[in-house]
Amino acid sequence: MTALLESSSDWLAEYYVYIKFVHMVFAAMWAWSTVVGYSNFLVPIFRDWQRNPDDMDKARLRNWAMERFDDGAVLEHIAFPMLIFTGPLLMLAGGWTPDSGWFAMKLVLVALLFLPIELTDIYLAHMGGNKKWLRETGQPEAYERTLHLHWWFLVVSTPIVAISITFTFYLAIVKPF
Amino acid sequence: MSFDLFPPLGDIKPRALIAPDKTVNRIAIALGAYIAFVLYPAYGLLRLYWTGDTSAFDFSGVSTAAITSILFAVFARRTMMRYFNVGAMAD
Repeated sequence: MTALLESSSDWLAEYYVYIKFVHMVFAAMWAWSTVVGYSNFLVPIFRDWQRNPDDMDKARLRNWAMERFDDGAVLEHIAFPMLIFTGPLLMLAGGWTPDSGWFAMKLVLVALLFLPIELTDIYLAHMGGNKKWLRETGQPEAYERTLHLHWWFLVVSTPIVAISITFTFYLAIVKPF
Repeated sequence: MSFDLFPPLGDIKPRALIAPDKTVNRIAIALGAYIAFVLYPAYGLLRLYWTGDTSAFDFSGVSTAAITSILFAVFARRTMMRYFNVGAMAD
């Protein structure tokens, strides 16, 4: 096993900068592809609806925005698996191990923070929590409940991702410890 | 407001979103605690397992983790409150 990893590492080392390029492109896509839609559309529309929860027009606008956001998160959710794929390749090609503090911290953040957040987000946006699917399959109560859950999830994860994604870029680029 | 792009409400019955301050406070504390009791110890244990290095559990490391978790909890509470407390003004 060790020999296999070493030979893979030697072979991949030649392609280190290319793997890094792909990894960085998808890291940028993952980190920021939903920011404009979230900050400038979803948040103001939801805050407006929260002020007027009985206004049916605002509720329809809310539903439209969330359904569009479900679709808009596709780029993020393509990018994340690509990061999970290229990350270990980069690790092998660069010879990175938890000997480096920054790398150990990054591994912990990916495994214990980003992975659970992204799996939840993928479920809420594209699988059982997809709002368009819930509406079209005639599940109005599940639609409303899931929409509330999704909004809670987005609000709670906002401070987490704002700090942790920035910190992860800092770790990967500056390698401070 | 009427616009064909908007999905029909059908049988969906919108209800107000309730976000009690107490719940938000608890979530903020839980997020801070997750840093202090899960993320940082996991980092320390990984370093210990891989390199035998125990410096993550030195006073400076632990105090940095503690301060970070408190500051993050405050930031998280402030951010979540901003989204949930909508006030009367339009965005």
